[in-house]
Amino acid sequence: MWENLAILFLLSFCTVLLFLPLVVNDVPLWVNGKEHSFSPALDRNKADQIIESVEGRSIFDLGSYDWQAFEEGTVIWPLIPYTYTSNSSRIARKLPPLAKNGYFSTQGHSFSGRHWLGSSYGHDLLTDILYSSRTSLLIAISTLLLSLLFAMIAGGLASFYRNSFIGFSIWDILWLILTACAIYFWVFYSRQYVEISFLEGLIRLAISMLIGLIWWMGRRLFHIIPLGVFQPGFQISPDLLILKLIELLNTFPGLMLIISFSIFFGDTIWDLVLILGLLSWTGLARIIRTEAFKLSESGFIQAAEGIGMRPVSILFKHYLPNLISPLIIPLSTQLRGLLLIESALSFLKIGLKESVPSLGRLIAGTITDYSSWWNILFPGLTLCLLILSLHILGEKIRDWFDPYMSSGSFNLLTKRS
Amino acid sequence: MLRYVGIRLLGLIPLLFLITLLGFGFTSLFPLSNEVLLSGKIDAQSDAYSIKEQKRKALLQEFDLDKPLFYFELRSLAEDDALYEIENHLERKLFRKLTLASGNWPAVQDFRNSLLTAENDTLIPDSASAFQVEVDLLRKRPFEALPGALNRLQTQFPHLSLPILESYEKVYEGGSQWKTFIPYPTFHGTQNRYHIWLMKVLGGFDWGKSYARSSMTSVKERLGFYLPWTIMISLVSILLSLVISIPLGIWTALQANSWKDKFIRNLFFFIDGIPNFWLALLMLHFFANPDYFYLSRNEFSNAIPEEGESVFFLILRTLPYMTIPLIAYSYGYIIFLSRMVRANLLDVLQQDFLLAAKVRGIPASKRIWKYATRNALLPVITVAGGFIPSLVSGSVILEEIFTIKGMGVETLRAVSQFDIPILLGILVLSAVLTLLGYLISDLINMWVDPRIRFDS
Repeated sequence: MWENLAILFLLSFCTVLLFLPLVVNDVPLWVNGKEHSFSPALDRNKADQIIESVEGRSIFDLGSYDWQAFEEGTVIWPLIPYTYTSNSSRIARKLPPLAKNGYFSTQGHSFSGRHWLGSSYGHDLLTDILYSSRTSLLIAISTLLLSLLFAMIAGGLASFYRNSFIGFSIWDILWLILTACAIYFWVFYSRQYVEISFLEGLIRLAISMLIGLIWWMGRRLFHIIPLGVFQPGFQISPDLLILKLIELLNTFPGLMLIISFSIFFGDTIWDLVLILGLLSWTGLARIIRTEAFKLSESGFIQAAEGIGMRPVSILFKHYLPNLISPLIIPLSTQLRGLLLIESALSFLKIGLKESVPSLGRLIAGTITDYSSWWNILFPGLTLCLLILSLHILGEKIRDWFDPYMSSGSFNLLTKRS
Repeated sequence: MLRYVGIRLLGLIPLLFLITLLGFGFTSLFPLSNEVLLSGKIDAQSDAYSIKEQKRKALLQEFDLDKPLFYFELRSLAEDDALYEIENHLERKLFRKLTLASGNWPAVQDFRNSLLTAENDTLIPDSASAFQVEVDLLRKRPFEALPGALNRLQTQFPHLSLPILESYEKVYEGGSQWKTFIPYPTFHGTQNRYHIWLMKVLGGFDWGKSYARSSMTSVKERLGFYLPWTIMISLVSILLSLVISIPLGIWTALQANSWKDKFIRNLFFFIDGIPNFWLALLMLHFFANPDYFYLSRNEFSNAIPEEGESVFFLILRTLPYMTIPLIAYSYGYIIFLSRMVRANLLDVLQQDFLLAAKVRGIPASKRIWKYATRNALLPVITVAGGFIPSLVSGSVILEEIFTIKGMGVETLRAVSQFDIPILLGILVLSAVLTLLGYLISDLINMWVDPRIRFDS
């Protein structure tokens, strides 16, 4: 029962979020006048033009226009007749849940909106919650995909090179330093005084790497001239390198990194996605590494290699489908963590700019205001419901992919122990 | 054993060096660090410009900010050491950009000299002192505004500005822009910020001074004030959660799938979905509010030591007010740990050695408490080792809500004010503790489980 409830909640919630302007809008869905019939919610520009032609003046704020007075026609309002703005003149008071708006237009028409979850000054709470959870979900899901990409690359490389070592010489270290310096100088240092477009940056990057490549080719010389120092003498496992990188990233205090990164990046949604994606791939990468290694040891993949299947088709036909089921639960845990981190960051006013609606900011708005319980209760409750239903959904999907797998300690609400 | 610990500790040293290097490189990227630092310390309104410049210079010297960052630096061939000896940072920026745009440092130097001579020329009549003020302003303009400013200078003072304009034209005439494409390493020796910082830390454990405008100036003093609060609340909450969750986990595992177990599991499932900052706000709203319940007050903000009172007694005095913060801090730990103990114990209970013990007639209490529990708690130790860094890092969001003067709040302040010495201190502290946490949990694991060997 819980599973179905959670999935129903998520589906209806996501549907509402997809068609948000049709559910939450401060202009009517349909206005049926004597001469004009149109939908202001779908096309604000057209509505603006029609009103201008009828009234003979331009209406700047469509939200405050008295639609009831328009050509004495019928008006169909959306379910929630408000929109996410910094301040709306229609919502003047702080009202408890289910209260009627009580706004009268200048022509004396009453405005029949209800505040389903209450309101604060200038804000309808349900509107704010819907817009904020859209932002939070967008950030969390896209960050999850980005970190999954990073984790796939890192974990895949680590497991692929698990038993192999790469021999390198002092010459190769010099090559690495040289290439790094070249890229730093020609791509990043030059940006201080020359305007570099994206394409030119790519060309500069290519040239830097080409110079490094020429140097690297020079190592062939020492096959002819036997100079001991430049012969490959050191060995390193790429697997160990990636593990050490993960360990190093984990040693840095997470919040400090996020705050510092948010200084260098901008304050839009996609900047935050990039920051969180860069910092949150480590746990997934470890899991992918071990799971991919387990798969590579398993019989069917060795058989596939034995019959001469191409590596690319092994990757897509055997590795990826078999990686899904062990990854579902970590992914849903990660998604939960990302939702929490995002709202915690906006709670602290880090990362996102002020004008972007966010659940954390909504919760933070109540930190000094103890007079209205609904403003404290409902935003957090939405976050809770989202987290719980995503968790339940994750378990459902995992069971669907792999019905035989033992559920472990995290499978609650099911019959198995 | 000692040898193993020694090797592990020696292995930490290069990693720590790497971390300080990365931290230093990272903090050097902070924009406007000098300006932010100085804007806090210099009274912008009251002082005259020359006094402000003097104070600026003194402050830069005090914080070693006038020195280069690292032992060496990659510059372009067009730049010159003399360029970096220009004192005013706005002027330095302008001439650096001019040099890099033209690649012609000698001509740029001539241009600057002509500006300086025009400014200091005593033969120019007093009526033209407006010209000298213009020229002085010109030297501090942004690079993009330079041509426009020169044009204005030309229309206002056609005669006086002649040498300046001539030398400016030469800058681009003999331009050798190819020089800006050639990298040129410059070495600074030991007089650099990283070396000085490292030597101070290694020599006298001196972490430097904070940039904050406060009575507590040294990093050691500041962290010494903020650390005890964070350590206290994290330590108490971790201990509390261990004390609650281990018996709870064992109890639920022993009666797995009874209604009590199911009830607790479902309860924990729902509580686990609650974000801790929201729960904290809810509890403050309902239990620390005169309108509803008034069980506990938010008293941390008022905790000021009385005369001769040590921090320890201060903490003891404020303990009763910790009820709500403690719940908010520890419920996540409790749920996580008790689930883990339960799952582990269920796994262990199905193993053969317990069946063998049962057959041998060993009583149930001994079987469970001595044989099963000991094995089930092994992974808990590893996890508890991972909690050690949180002893010092603190939870920013909960500290903000409960106004605890802890490390999280201090970190937030330091990052938002670009307080680099404090950040480096926190970074090294938490890195050391994270690495030590791994080591300690490994050691305890080896002590509890003799199968793990002391190798590698």
